[in-house]
Amino acid sequence: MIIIGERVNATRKAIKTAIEQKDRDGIISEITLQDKYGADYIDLNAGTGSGTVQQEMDDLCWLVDIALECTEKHLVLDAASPEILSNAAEHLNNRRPWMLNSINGELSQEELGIIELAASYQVPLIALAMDSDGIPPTVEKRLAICETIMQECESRGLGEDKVFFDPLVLPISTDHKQALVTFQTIAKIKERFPKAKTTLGLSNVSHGLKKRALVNGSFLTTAACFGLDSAICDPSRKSIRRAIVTGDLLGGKDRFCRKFSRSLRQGLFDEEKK
Amino acid sequence: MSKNKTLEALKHAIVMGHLDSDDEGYDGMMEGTPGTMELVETALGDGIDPQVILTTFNEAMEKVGVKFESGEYLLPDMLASAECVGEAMDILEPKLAAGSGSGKGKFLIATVKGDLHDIGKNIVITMLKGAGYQVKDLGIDVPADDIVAAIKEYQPNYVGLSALLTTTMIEMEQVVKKIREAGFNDVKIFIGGAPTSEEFAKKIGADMHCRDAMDTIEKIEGTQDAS
Ligand code: B12
Repeated sequence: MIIIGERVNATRKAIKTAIEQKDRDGIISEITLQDKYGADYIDLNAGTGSGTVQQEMDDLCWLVDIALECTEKHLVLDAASPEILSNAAEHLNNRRPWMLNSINGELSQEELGIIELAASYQVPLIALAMDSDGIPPTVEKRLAICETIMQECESRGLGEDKVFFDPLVLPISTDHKQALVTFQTIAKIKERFPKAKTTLGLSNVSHGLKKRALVNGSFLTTAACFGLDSAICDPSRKSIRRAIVTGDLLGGKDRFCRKFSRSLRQGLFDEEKK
Repeated sequence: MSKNKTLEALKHAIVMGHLDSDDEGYDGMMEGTPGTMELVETALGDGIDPQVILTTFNEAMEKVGVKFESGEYLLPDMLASAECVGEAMDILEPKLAAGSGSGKGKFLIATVKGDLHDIGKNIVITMLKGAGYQVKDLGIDVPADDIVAAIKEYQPNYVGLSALLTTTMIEMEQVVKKIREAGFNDVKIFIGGAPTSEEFAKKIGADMHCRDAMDTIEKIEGTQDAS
């Protein structure tokens, strides 16, 4: 499972404040925490929602600089506008393997610009299975959106192997079949685009419920069994790490169950001390 | 590397289930270091006797068994080590079997019903072939009736039975009984596998018990001299 650490995202209050106050150490500890717990990529999002485009541009470069210094992990440049992303890409200058987050099936000029950016650097791009009408509740519609996205990518020189589809999930608290829709979408995407990867954000699934860590974890484990390649998550949470290890185990990705038994020895599955 | 160091490294690689340099090994840190496959090649290159390498396999698997018993190893860890030896045997077999005829008689061999262990049996097969016997291997988990049927068809001079579990060695008694009941009184029955013993062989009416592959060759050659 490719783990994309989601913590450095300005939609989180602590990160927003850290960015606004240029609290370097605060950002460093967020990054190194995820590094320590096995993130493969560190997502960097500077969209505080309050500043100008120029501000977000500068902030994202500031995050990139910090990340380059404090971790060796790969990076994810996360923003909605192609100018901000291409500016950060130029600044990063391939000093580290990286990818882009994200576009969706709306395919506005902005998004087409992001596809072109990904194509020009030949880096992976996360694409969400939704469009201007939001997240469709059916497998068929989500797959249709993926088809459209893939056509646009391929016509711009971004190959299937460079696309990370996020099948998305709607809360099961309002429609109890929605986790299933996500699982089936993963399977369909893998079938239709065998070279593409799938990735997934988790927390939406348990919106409005309790014991959310348990629900999110079980959701991730099951998604792994349906072929999920990657998760956008917080690996510093034990429930997430447990879910990833058991997901790889049950999903047939853990030869001789070695990752599982290593995690066992490291105490990942020990009972929490009360 | 000195010969001893090579063998020590080989033993360690097997115990760690470290197949080749692409494999991460038990601790997940071994990728890029020589694994079982590379070390067997090194050992052969160093001129180490293939039979000494076999002994190293034995020692390594014994250690694995101890780790499994103590709970340190899980079943898949044991399997990883077994895979190492299985693959390494493919390299070793041509060296051991080289240049021999097959005129000393026919040997039918099987791991008895309920038992899936075959590393020891396969080593015995390799040594027998090397010593000039024609071997028919029925594989693992073989029911008594199939063994009897194969004796009918193949008319061997020897039948070898392997069992590694205290629960399956009992099955050997049934097999011996059925072989004799079917009227095959001349065929010599050899048994082996860690839980078996000389006394056990006597008790169930088998002709010979063998501790290991070398012992097997010595004892079978003994029967040849006698005849
Ligand atoms: C590798 C292994 C496995 C592998 C087998 C893979 C394979 N392809 O063979 C796997 C992981 C599948 C396995 C499974 C199990 N195993 Co296991 N396994 C072992 C282990 C670690 C090594 C066996 C081995 O290969 N030894 C190396 C070879 C070279 O030695 P050998 O087999 O003794 O053979 C030599 C001699 O005995 C003799 N010989 C053998 N056969 C014959 C036949 C003839 C005709 C002759 C003449 C000579 C001869 O010559 C051989 C060469 O020198 C042993 C531990 C041990 N110390 O034996 C446990 C062990 C045998 N397993 C054990 C157990 C409990 C199991 C399981 C029940 C575990 C489980 N919970 O599921 C299962 C049972 C599966 C089944 N139904 O058979 C126990 C048995 C305990 C008991 N009292 O019965 C042991 C002793 C481990 C332990 N200490 O707890 N196992």
